[in-house]
Amino acid sequence: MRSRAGRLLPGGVLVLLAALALCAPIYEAAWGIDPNGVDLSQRYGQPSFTHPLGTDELGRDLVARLLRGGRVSLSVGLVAALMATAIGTVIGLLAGYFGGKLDAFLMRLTDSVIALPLLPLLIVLAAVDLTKLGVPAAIAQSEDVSLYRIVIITGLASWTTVARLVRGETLALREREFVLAAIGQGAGSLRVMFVHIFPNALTPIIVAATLSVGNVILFESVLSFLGLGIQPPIASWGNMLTHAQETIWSAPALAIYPGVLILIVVANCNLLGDRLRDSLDPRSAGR
Amino acid sequence: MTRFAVTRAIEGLIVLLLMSFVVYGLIGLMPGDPIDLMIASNPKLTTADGQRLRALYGLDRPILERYLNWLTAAVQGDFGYSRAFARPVLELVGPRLVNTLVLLITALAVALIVGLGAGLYAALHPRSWIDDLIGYLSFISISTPTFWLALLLIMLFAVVLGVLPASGMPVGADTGLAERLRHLILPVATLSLASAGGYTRYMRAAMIETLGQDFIRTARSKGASEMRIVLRHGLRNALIPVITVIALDFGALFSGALITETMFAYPGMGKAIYDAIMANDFNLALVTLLFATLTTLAGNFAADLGYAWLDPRISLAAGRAGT
Amino acid sequence: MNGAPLLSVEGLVKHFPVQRSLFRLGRGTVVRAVDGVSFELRAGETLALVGETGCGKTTVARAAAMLHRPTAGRVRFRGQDMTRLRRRGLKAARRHIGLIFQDPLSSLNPRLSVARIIAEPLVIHGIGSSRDRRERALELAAAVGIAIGDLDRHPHAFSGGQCQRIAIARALACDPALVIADEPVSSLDASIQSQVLNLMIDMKERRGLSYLFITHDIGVADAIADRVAVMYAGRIVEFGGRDEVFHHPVHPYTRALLDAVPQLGGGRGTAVSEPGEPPSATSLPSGCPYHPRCPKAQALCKEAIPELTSPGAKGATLAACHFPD
Repeated sequence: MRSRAGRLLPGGVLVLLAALALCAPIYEAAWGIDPNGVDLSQRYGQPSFTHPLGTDELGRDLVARLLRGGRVSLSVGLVAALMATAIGTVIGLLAGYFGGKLDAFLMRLTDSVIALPLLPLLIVLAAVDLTKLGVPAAIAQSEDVSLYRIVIITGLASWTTVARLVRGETLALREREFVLAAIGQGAGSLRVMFVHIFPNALTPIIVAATLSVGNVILFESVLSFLGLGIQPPIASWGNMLTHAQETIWSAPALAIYPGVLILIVVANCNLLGDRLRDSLDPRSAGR
Repeated sequence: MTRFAVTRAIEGLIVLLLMSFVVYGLIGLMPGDPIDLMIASNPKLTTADGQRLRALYGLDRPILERYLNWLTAAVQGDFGYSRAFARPVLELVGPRLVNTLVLLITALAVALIVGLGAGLYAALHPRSWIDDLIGYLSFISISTPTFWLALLLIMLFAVVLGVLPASGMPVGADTGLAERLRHLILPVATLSLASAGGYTRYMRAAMIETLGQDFIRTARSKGASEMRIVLRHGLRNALIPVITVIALDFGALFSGALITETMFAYPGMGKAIYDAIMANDFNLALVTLLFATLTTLAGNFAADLGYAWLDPRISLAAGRAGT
Repeated sequence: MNGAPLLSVEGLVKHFPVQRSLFRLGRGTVVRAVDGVSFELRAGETLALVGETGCGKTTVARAAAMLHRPTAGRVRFRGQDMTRLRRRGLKAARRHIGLIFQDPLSSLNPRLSVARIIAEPLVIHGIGSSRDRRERALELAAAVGIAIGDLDRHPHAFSGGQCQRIAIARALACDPALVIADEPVSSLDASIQSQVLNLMIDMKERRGLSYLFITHDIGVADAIADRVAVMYAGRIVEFGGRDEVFHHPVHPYTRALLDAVPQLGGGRGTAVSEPGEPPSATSLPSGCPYHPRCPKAQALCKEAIPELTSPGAKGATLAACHFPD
């Protein structure tokens, strides 16, 4: 695994899975399948030509559900990780650049959020009734809202690692002479942070973002599993497991496939992050 | 040391207060409304009665005022009644907190023994096949969703082998200890397997880093025995960063406990939080959440003291400021 | 060399707290990097701050550029007290000050093209259209000897000497009145050093610049300076015209520095050093900070800190010594 190709293998696996998930409509068209089509006569169907992996407890095609679920889980993971990275980057930049009391406050905040039991809080957030926040009922009850809600919630839960990392990078870069030169020329704080510090902290930020994709997918899957994340009929790997505890006796396969896919995606995100970090930081290579 | 403990305790209190306000606000945003629920369950009540009840309970007051009222009562030990159980919340929390602590502490002990042991072994035999195996296993551990791990364990031990119960810790005084322990095995296994991988990775990395440092080389060159080097010099120094990370992980450990308890119908705080939120039991949800926060903060605090004990040279506060 | 000073530093003090903890549990010690420095820089002249590593000369340079807020004292640029300026006023003042740092590669943002680096001060101060700025960058690059075709490359494609030329071009972009240069040639090879130094002298003559020039190298100071301030342990110990200070030093420290240089003005790379260690800036000795190393030290030197004054009839030189030569 020391070769360049070996290092990038996890990235390849992720791209392949994403490509497969994007191909869901092609598969559905080719097999003439509706991924959300309930057919109670076909419940717990065995694998066959029409349903390569069989059907679930509502008679829906498992392959189509898995592909659709992959689209949701991967895109939630990517978007929420991007959001978490953006929040963490801004907080880390502010703390590291301005230092002093702001830094102490922001890092205390970050440490506190890390120390909190996040999942119970996320459950509360997921249970919040949007109409009480003044969101029109038509929007609050639409199908897609669970998607946006989960992106925001998991994003809010995952910014801390990025924030600590960016702060550390900012502290180091702040003393570099090109940053001093920019300040000395009269550049404003925003310019120094976003033109001079941020681009030079980009590589570690990418590592942290990669790691947080895995993290977000784990959060998404557990919330969806508990019935608080992606709402049916939209499939996600997490909510496909919601009834697994009952079906585990009769149809164990239904409990296996989504979990294996989550494991593969999260493990490859973590692996890719580790590999990227090793190739950027010679000191930690070989760990 | 005292001063450090007091500072940390005050900080913890502030975090707890902030948390209680945020959670109080969020709980108020959850679906349903206690008065609406009362009206729905009692046909004799009219909308006008609802208004009067609202005024009676102060629900028409601004949020800050309601929160302060709640806080005043809470400080005096009155956390209100659980709607779902129709009993004072505090009575419900007690036994559940004990159950959760049993689960958390047992699982943490198992995870630490497994994780630190495996990490130490891997660090002392780098690049051996066992190191590789430990590496893969810990990787799988950190990448597996806890709830799915629980499903797999249920499938294997309860469905296929049929040797362990899948759920339902029996409550009641007549349950024997052996039966209680049998019900504890799968939850503890789930939670400790989910945490051990992370601990293994921290331990291995910290130990390899420590063993590469100058003072270890010096000890070697002075002819100290390998065992002495590893235990006396290496382990003590490697544990310092490991404890910091583990302390930061307590929140995640509690999150894991929530999933585990829900999966195995284990009557602890995590399950209570989940059930209370699902049942719109506002008072219970609020109090269980605060106790959960208190638990993780206390764990954090204990880890900080352990950190100070391991490394008395470093000023107590600087260790955290510098991270 | 007319009347009012371009830059005047009055009683500059800069202490860095050695922060122990977030809550300041321990009473942290301070590093007394600069401990009461005053000097004036006249328009059109080059003032060299000379001293060993750690004597506080870089801190003086950075405080003069307001990169550090001074603990005490004033920095007046064109009569304006920079320590009192708020954001907008400070930005306006900075337009007229160019900066050059020691490590040429580190002083250029690795993610920007050279054209953008040179034009950045123009962007910051909103000067000209983007086409004007591009033209100005070309002109400056040509003036410092960087090939026009290389302007879209990034700093790592250039040698140390070329990077320093780029840094000089950037410093000159807004036609500054003052350039503060912190060891601009000391990390360059000897042959490159004189090229860059000559470029700086050339630019000064053509553009009527003034330099505050920080160096630990007596030879470099001798080549470029009109006047010289010798620093030791956060203070100026001797101040005067280049020839007086280098040929008729009155402070024993200056003499020791010069004795360590084989032949003045000859060899390059003649770093200032002498037997013994300079004192730690966290625990300065009592009295004259130089007394533990001074061959002429007497009882008085251990008690009283000498003021920077004129030692009698020896011309315009100032020295901080109880027993000057």
